[in-house]
Amino acid sequence: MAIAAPKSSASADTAFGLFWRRFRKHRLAVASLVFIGLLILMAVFAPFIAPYSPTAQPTGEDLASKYFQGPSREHWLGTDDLGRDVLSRIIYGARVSLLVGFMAAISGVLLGTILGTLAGYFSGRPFRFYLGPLNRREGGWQPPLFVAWRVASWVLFYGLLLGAAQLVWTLGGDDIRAGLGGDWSFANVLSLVASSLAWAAIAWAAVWGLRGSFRLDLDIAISRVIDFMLTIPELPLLLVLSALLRDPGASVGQWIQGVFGESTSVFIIISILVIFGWTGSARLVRGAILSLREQEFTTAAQALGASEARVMFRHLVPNTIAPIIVNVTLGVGGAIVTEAALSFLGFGIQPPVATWGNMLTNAQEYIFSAPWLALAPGFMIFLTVLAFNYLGDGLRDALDPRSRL
Amino acid sequence: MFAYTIRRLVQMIPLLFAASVVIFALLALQPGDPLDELRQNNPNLTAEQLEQLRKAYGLDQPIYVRYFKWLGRALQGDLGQSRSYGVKAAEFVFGERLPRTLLLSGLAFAVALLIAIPVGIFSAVRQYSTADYAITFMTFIGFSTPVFFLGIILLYLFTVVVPERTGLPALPTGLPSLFWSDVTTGSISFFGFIGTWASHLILPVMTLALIQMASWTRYMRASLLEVLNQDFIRTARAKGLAERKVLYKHALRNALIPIVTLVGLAVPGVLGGAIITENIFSYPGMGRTIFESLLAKDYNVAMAALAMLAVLTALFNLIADLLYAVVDPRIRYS
Amino acid sequence: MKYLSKLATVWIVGAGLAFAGPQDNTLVVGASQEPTVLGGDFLSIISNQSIKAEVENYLLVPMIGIDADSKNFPIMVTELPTLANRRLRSVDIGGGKRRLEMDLTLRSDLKWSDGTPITTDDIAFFNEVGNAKGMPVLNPDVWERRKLIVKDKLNFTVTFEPAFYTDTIGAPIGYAPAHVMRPEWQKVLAQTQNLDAKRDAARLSEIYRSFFQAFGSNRAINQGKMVWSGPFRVTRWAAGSTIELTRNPNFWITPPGGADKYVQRVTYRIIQNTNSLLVAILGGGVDATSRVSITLDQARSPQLTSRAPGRYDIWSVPGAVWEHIDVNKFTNVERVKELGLDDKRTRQALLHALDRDSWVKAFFEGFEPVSHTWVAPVNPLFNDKVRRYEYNPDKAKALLAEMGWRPGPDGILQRTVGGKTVRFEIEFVTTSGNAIRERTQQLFAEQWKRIGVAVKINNAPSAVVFDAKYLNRAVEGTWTGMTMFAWVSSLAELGNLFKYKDLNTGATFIPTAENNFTGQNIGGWRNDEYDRLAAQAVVEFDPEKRAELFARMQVIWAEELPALPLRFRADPLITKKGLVNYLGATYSGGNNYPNWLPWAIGWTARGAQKLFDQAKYATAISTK
Repeated sequence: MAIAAPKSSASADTAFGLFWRRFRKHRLAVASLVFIGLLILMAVFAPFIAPYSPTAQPTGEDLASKYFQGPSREHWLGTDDLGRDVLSRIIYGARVSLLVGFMAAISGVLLGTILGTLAGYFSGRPFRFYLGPLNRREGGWQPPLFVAWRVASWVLFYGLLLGAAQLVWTLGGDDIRAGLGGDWSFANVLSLVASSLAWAAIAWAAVWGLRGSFRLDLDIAISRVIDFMLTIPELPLLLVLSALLRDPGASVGQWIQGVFGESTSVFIIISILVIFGWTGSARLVRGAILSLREQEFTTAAQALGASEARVMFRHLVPNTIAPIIVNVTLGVGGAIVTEAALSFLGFGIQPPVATWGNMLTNAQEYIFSAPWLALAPGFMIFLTVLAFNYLGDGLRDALDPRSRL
Repeated sequence: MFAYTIRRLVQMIPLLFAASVVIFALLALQPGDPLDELRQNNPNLTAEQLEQLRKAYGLDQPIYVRYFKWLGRALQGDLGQSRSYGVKAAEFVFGERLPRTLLLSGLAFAVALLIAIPVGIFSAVRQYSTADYAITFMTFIGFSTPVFFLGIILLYLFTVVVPERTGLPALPTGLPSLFWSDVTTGSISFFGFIGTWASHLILPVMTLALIQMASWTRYMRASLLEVLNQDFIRTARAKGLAERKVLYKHALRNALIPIVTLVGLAVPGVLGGAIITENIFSYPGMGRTIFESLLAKDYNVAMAALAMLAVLTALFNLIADLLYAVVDPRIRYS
Repeated sequence: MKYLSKLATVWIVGAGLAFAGPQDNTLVVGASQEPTVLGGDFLSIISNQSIKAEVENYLLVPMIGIDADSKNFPIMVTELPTLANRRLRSVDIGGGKRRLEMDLTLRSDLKWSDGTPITTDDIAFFNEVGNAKGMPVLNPDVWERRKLIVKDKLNFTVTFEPAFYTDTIGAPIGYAPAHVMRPEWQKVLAQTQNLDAKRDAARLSEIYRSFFQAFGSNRAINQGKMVWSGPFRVTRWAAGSTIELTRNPNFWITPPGGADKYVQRVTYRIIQNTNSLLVAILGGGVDATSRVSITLDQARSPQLTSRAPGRYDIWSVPGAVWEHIDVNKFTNVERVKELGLDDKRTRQALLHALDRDSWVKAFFEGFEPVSHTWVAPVNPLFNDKVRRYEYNPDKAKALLAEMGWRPGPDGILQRTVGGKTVRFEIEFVTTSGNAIRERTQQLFAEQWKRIGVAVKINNAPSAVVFDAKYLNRAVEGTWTGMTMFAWVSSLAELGNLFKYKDLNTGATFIPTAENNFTGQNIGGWRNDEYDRLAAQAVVEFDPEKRAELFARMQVIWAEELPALPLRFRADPLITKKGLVNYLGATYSGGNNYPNWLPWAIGWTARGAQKLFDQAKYATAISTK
């Protein structure tokens, strides 16, 4: 691995050429790439490949004989609980499953990697996040980006404050308006005290915002957000969201529907997976960066005048690639299966649309009467995850900066 | 380090406060309320009677009043009553369900790590060998198998098929029908008690451990490979150190660093229980407690369990961070 | 070696396998639920689970039971009150309302399990606790209408005013062990005397719950705090695992041949996951299934039917759970108007397009019958002669064409309403995760597509669907088309599911803002003739006249078709060969409880006499 590559031609020495030469040596990785490519083609051209419609059901009176068929000439993988062709459902199912699996795992890990890198690299170097409009502490010229952030931060700050005020008003407005009205019950007194305190805090914040300033360590901010995310239980949150999407009064559902149209369901599912998925990789990357930034090569790069961004993303991130790749690999499989669970909670993909996840979950019902129904989707998920793993291995070997000697 | 720890502990207070607010709000906003069932089953209830019931269930007050009442009592150690069981929520969650989860999930977690770490090391050392491919293959089968299928298959195998074919007794599942008082009154010996429990735990522990092993093997393998590629290993080898020594003295120590963090982060998840395994093997632990209390709208129990998990998550996050600094001298916390 | 063999014994006993069944005259029942409390919670304030009622059938018998033929039979009283023996009197109190008076006499040999006689004092105690201020009882309407008059230790009268015929089904009132619970209750009274029923409702309810819990929780039961009146008492309740009941020697009814010929110990094995429960049955560790156990699908699985011959009987007991599709009929909802869902022809067309006969055959082998109205075929009020909607897509198309629907370019029907072209796409909601419903839904969606009706499936978890803010707000358009779910019905049928207004009480049943969204008529159907008949029927104490009124209600219903009737569920019952008098029928014990005659459950091999034939009440599932 440490052998220098023979210089065959000048063009081969471009970054990509080098990468490709090394990647090619990893035969399983290449095979996996081809396999994933074929899967994507299968998904895209599903209508031309699939022998039947994925939702076509048999007709006639004796339906039972057409349900749960084993493999046959007509149905290579048999039929499911409604007599639909399993092969066609697998082919069509690749569409949602691959989209959700790839997008959720990759975007989650990408987001996690970026935030984790920022947190780890800037740990202990707090930024001035907020400087009130009337605060003149920083005079002189300032970079335009900084000025833009300052203005944006005022808008954000007072926007949030307004939101908080609105919330307190809806929650406790009645108590303020009505006063105690002679009712000295515990609940009434408590709510009056609580809303008075909330109003006092809002007023104080409004004044503070004019002149105050606030330095924040990115690491602390991101880490506490992660901690917070990790403490929020997923199931109750998802149930609340599911009800909210169906509440015509809240109109959240209609709004999202209006923006995303047909792809709403897939968008919602990917978003949920990303929101809950980024924290793991962020923590992992943050930890690795914290350690790497103290190493000699980082100091060397900084001394040579490399920009912060370059140090972070060219020198540090490639060194954390191994756990990132494991994360993506495991994430793809996880997302494909979790999609079905989310759909059950009322988000997104509704029957009769086929996905590998819902085929596998549905097979649970028939574990005693038709256990083979689980095989096809389970095997596809297995192959996809395996292919991603080998692809990851190949990528790591090809990208690893240490083997670039 | 000490100052850092203290600072982190102090930071935990607002975090936990915020988490408790959010969890409480989520539970209060859950679709449906405890009266839905009554409303559907008894159409003769008048609006007035329903209002009276709402008052009896304490649902007539605004969310934040309910929250402060809960917080006030929680800080005095009173987490309220379970709606379905009528007993104290804290006693139910911490006294009954949590110890069971510690036993089952903790044991499974330990078994998974004890097997996965050596296998991961072996797989990394023999990278791209037949054995490595076989292990990779197996781990991904483990990873792609839903717990549900594995659990039911093992259950069917060891309680129906094997006994039918061989005449061996079926492996028991669920909780043993035993009390500690059975030992004190002498109706069963101490070892009999332990043995019975152990026999009941074989199948669920096996199921949980098999599923968890897959990802831990991958993480261990990746981590060790990463270290084996680094300069100092090459230096150590160039120095002529024996391969064993390079591996165990230099590489392994460094490779375990990220694993330690991951383990720290995984602990709260372990304590949250394993809902599917607990369900299949009739083992009422934390996973089922949380799920069932949500379904039954037994919010005091759900709140106690979820708040406990939030505290543990925050705590183990801190422990993971601190451990990281302990095992990796390059990391400095100021 | 000695240690090993001991361990093996423990192991086997723990699994509950070795000595089950006739060998030691015991019964192991497999259940998929566990009661959270037993006994002490006699008003079902903490829990009203059906498994609690089932287990309590062994422990606390009702005064008057309901047998497999849905008839009352006396358990604690000397004779049933009837109009003929003048123990039952219905008095006209004007305004179409009636008062009901029931004279009852307790048997003189009744005893609690500790030997204390059961007297009217125990009934008075029950009544006192239920009437305590702010007691959050589940059926406040009954408590408001019911009065108890105690005459002496054994004689008492119960009155209902106003009365409904449902008041004569089963026991009119309950009882609780005053000698055990009253001292604690006095403390509760002292604690609550200064509390106000309205202002301190939450506090009161908490104190009451603690009181019930002190005699009903797992710990209290194991400590022997509760006494029992049934043929069995609890000897060990290992939470999350098993409940062990043993014969109560103080029970007053002796089954034919003597109590020792019948089951001496009943063990409930609790296995929540029904697949795991099925595995336990396959392994031979269960003698019979509870009312709440595996599904009918699982009972028909080849693993079970192939092992059954010579070992098990597998029955399908008709149930009273009605699966249907409710249709939004609120004309203020725009989509309802566009699709014409408020017009009965649309609903009739939708039903004609469904091949329900093939459906029940393919899905349930016909064990679950197609329903034509909301009344179960086994209910005495059932009317067979109503309009039926056979599978006839052409008729469906013709009805829709009548409404102005024409096939559009994509094959989906369309029509013009108020200058706007409307595509016939209807929202279809059901509870996700319920495999049978989701499977049914997809089959129906396909059949509707064949007549040009597009279906937009929008499922959610049951917590979301059954949230009153969703299901009960069709008037606000939370769901705009159809929702598939089930109602559980009982012998006490009042027709409330489809009433607009109860003409006796004035209550309304269509959930709208006016009645704070209460009521079960969630689709919003109004038929004044139906309401009038229902109001007459519920105060009609002559069974034949009542059936006649209900028959007319069903005719109207089937013609107007406010909802699409689908099927009545059936419940599986699995019993080991030789087990007798463990018998399920739709209304036995009130709710298909197989242990409604708990003292007579036994094994023929141990001399138990068979008193009833299960084949009369259920269909056998063929085994091979």
